[in-house]
This record gives sequence, structure tokens and C-alpha cells, in this order.
Amino acid sequence: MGGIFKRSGNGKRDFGKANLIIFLFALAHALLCYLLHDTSVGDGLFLTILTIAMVFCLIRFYGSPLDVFLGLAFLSCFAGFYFGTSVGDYLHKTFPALGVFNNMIVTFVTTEILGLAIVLVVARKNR
Amino acid sequence: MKRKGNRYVNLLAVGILALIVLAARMIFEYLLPVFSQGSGQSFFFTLKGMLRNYPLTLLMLIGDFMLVRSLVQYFSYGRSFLARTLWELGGVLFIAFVAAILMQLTSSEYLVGDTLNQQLFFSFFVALFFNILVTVVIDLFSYLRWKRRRELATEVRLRSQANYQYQLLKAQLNPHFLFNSLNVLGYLIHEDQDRASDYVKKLSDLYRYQLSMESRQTVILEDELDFVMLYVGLIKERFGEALDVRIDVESRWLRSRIVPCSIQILIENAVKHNIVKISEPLVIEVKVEQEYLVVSNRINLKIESGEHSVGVGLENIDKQYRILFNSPIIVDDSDGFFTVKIPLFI
Repeated sequence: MGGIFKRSGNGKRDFGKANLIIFLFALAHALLCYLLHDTSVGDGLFLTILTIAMVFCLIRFYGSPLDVFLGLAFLSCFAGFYFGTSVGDYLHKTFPALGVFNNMIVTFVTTEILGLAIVLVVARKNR
Repeated sequence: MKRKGNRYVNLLAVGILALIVLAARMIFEYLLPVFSQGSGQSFFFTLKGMLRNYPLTLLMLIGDFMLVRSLVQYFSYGRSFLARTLWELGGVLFIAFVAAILMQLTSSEYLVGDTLNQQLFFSFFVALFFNILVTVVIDLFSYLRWKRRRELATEVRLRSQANYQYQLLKAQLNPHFLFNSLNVLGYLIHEDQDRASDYVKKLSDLYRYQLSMESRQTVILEDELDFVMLYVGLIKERFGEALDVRIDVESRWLRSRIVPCSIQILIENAVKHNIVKISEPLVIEVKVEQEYLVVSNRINLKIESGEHSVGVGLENIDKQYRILFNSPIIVDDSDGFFTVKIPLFI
């Protein structure tokens, strides 16, 4: 996590960087969803891998202990799965014309929410 | 080298844990529906049945809570992450297994053979997911509490350090000391110019040392004792034979670490509170006893100082030792002697 993803010691700036990490992961989630959602492979496995990677990156970014990794990864994956599929199904019924874009939007929003929730847990005051 | 090794172990552990989460997610999404269809049971129906069994639910929650409590007690966060996670997983597996058996024992249905095995297996899976979820949530709350406590401790430490540095800064600009030193210097210039020159050099060395200590948390005992000798040399010009500071420290202790200016503050306190006269000389002893630097003097309080005060200086030294070394200083004023024991660290 070197370079721009290294903590600066300034709380606000670090929060901005964490947001950038989350945003990039959210984009990757949405892109993956677009590419794989309608294929026989499906996007579930890869989205889970990306979510776990995001949890790891955020923990490393804030230099927090890895003890909470399992908990956060587990909660994020299952919360993401439930939230994503249930809201995705609802959107499909409401806006059927949008097709896979419904899933992309839900995946993006879900990743952003989960990312911010993880930051709330792992963020530390800078010393 | 060890840190690098630890990093690889941690990365490997993270990889394994990621695989476990991934496998759980895959089982839940792909295998559970297949198994559900085969055995004619539904995940949510079984979960509902389990949660309706209130004593069992309570038992599982207590088990999860006790598990996290034990983990917090025996494995502090950030210390042994792999062992902690393995114990956590093992604990949850055990609770889920017991819950599944209890569920079958308390069930009204009488099952045998394959049906029993299938149901037991399914109950175990449902209990496992439920208990992992509960344990993880309790663990995260516990982690947040730990994090808040740690941040508070850091805040207290930083404040205390800032306060100590402020006290040191104040000591540097101590007008009483400067006033007395200048008076002594004025006297020496007329009486003995060589001694006056020596006095100025000692004074400048003393201030140089204090300035260089501003940002340091600890110093080696050898440097601190040199500084004490300078300080004693200066105040002896004022008190002469009335003040006797005896330093007896073996050379093997000279590399030990000590909080800067701590001995000087103790000597200053002794001089401030006790009578220093030729007829009643003040003897201060500085020695090492059982890994403690001991500074002691006979109590002979000045009339105006009233009862012996512990003082801000002593309190600050104590705080620094508690923060930096997690070990307090020992103060004893029994048998007519005032003794302060400062722990030494190699």
C-alpha cells in the first residue's frame, strides 16, 4: 500500500484516500458485474474475492490489527450478498429495461456503503 | 528478518482466512440450496425453528459472548492474530455442534438413520452461520471498545509527556535558580576570577544539556550523572560544605536508561525543602540498589516549608516512568529519611 495509498497522518486527507480506495473497488465491482453477471460463470465468486480484497486493503491502509479481518470479511461478504441480491431483484422488477445496469448500480452502492462501514471500524486517530 | 517472516505468516494466514470466507459464501450460495432440495429442509425455516427454541438461543448467545470474552482476555488485539482467529473458529464450531445436538434432542420429531444424520448436519450448518454472525458482531463491538480505550491511553500519554516537557522548559527558565546563580557569579567575579570563569562554563554546560534533552524521552545514566555533577557543582558554590552529594554508582549501571533531569529534580527538591547549613549539613546519597537508582536524604525540613510536600516534579517523574516503562517510582519517608527509588532499564 505504498505511494498515494500511504497514510499521511492528516485525518481528513487519509479519509479521502480511504474513500478513493473504496471508490476504485466499487468501480471494479460494477465492472466485474457488467462483464460476468449474465455469463455461465456468474459474478458471485469474483465479487466476493474483490470484497475480501477491499477489507484487507482498508485494514492495511489504517494499520489496524488483522484480528478483525475474518469478522469484517465475513460480514461484508454476506451483507453484500443479501443487500445486493434483494435490492437487485427489486430494481429488476421496477426497471426491467435497465437489465444488468440495475445490478451494476446496486453493486456499486453496496460496495461504497460496506467500505464506509469498514472505515468506521478500522479508522484510527493519527499519531 | 523476523518481522519479514511474520509478515509472510500473516499474509498466509490472511489468505487462508479469505479462503474460509470464500468457501462459506460459496457453500451458502450454491451448496446449501442443493442440500436443501435433497433433504427437503430450508435454511430460514431451520433457523426460525432454532431461534424459537428460546433456551437454546440464549445458550448459544451466552456461549458466543463467553467465547469473545475469553479471546479478549487471553489474546489481546494485534498480538497473535492467527492463534486468536483459530481459537475463535474452533469455539464457534464447538458451539454450533453442541447447539445442533441439543436441537435434535429437544426436537419433537423422532428421527433415525440417514434422516437424523442429514437433519443434524443441516442444523449444524445453520447454527454455525448464526453463531459466526453473532460472534463476529460481538467481536467487532469489543474491538471498537478496545480501540477507543487505546486511543484514550495514547491521549493521556501524550498529554503527560507534553506536561513533563513543559515542566522541564520551566525548569530551564527557573528565575530563582538564575537569580541565585547570578548572585554567586557576581560574588565570584570580585573574589576569584578563575572560579567565576569555571562557574560560567558549568552554567552554560548545564543549560546546553537541558536544551538538548527537550525532545528526548530517556537518556543514559552516565550522561545524567554528568549533568547532576554540573548542577551540584553550581549549587555547592552557594552552599559550600553545607551540602554534600555522594554519588556511588558502579560502572555497569552507567548504560541504563533514565528519564532526563529526574535526579536533578530530586536534588533540587531536597535542597528546596530541607535546612542546608554548615551546622546542619544536608547529605544526599545517590546509589544503585537492586536495579533501582536510590536518592535519599535525612529529613530536616525548613520551618517555612511546613509538612513535607511530594511536589509536582516528583509526580511528573512518576508519571513518566509509568508511561515509558510501566513501572512507578518508589517514594518512602519513613525512619527520618526521604528516599526515592527510580527503576533503571537496560
